[in-house]
Amino acid sequence: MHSVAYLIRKDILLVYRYVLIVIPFLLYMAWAETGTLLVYVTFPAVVMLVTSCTLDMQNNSQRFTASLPVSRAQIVWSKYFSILAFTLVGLAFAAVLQLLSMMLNVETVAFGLPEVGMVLMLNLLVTSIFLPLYFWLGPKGMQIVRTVFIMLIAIGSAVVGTMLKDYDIMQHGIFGGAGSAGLQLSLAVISILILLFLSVLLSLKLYARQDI
Amino acid sequence: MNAATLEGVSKRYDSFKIEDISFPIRKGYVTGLIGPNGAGKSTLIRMIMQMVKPDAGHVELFGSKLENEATGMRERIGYVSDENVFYDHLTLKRMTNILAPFYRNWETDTFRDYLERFELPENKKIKDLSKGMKMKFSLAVALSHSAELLIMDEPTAGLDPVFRRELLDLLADQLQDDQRSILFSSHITSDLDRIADYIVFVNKGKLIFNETKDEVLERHVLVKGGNELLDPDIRPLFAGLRETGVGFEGLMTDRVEAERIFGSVALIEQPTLEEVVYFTVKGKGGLVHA
Repeated sequence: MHSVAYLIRKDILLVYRYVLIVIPFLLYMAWAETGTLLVYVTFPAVVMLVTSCTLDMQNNSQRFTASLPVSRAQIVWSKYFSILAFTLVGLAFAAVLQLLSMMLNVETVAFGLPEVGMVLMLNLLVTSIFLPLYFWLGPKGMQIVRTVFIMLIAIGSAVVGTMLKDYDIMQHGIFGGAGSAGLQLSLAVISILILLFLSVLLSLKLYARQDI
Repeated sequence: MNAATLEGVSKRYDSFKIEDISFPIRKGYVTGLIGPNGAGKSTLIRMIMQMVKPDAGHVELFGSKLENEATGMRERIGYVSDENVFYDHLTLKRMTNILAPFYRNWETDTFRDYLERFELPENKKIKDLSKGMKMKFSLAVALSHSAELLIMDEPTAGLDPVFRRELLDLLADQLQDDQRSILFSSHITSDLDRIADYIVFVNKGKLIFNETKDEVLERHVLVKGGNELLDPDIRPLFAGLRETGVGFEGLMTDRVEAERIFGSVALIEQPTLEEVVYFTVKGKGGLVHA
């Protein structure tokens, strides 16, 4: 298990400087009062995940991880666990922004347990789609996937976040009736967890047979 | 016990294949892996590292057949790739900080000694290092976690002659206790002349020979003579032949046979390892205009 922790640590050390690039964007969103928790957490977390995968692909660095005394399964698991670490980084960043907004008397974003849960679910959803593609495509084709993913997350998190801000999903659910909100959310959470499970299985299988 | 053994390994790609190759890496010795570009050397090395899975055959490491992942065994291997595998944008210090915790036997003092010896600046980014310096860093890492088997894919590529010589001495030092083994692939046959105990020669994905270096050099002979000595019966006896307007040079794999046929009419010399490789790869090609 400690090898997985070292792999996550590796990913954090690899990408932390790249997060500096998204900070001006997030500060602008906060200043313009258009930011939401999705923007502040999901965007940097996914950028970090995608960047760490890209860096592994460049310069044959996959061979570096493959030469370490870690199994391929541990490498796969570490990528899935990384998103949790990156989400924590995003949450810490959002908390700092929240604090600054309160001090400057700027409108703050909703930052409760339901919102954090929703952000976490969204990050797991994105990870479940992205990582099998990463382990399947390898260096070929990843350039395009990476660009598409970052664009989708940048635009998607802003749009979805604004929609959710205007429309209280906790009260009304996604498809109407107030009474069905809880059921809809539960179904969404279960669906994402099933998708995550299948995604891990697929990634383990794909990476196990890949030549590096 | 061998440090590693490849047993009948095969691998097929679209435009290249490795066919039924077997050879051991004997404990306490240096095994030199030679062959031209694209011969399959790196693929064989990556099979030992479990980066490439053979389609057929298997690899044994430290006496155990590799069926599942030999994660723990990789702790006992020091690997030097033919290309930089480290993260370009990191400094050597940060890169070391990332990799050291993975090895239970990481020796910080030994590593620092190598950094000093190789004059590697810790605060420099990997992308700003020369190819030789990247290789030196890779060597420092491979030699700093008590690896029993050093697997080096073209480690002398990009190194200046002075450091190449130093490296070979350093590797010879590593074998003092007979516990370490080295697999050393190289195009630079003079390096293997200097250090290797065994030579494994692969060409076009096939094993040409696997012998002690002395056997290789004793068995092969280089015959030099006039073109009038070559006739359709004689030509097939050569493993490789180079003809010019003034004569021929040919490699034969049977010294006794060579002396019987050419003893009094041609010059018979002991070839260098480079000549063995050159003539074997060249085969019985056409006329060379000299």
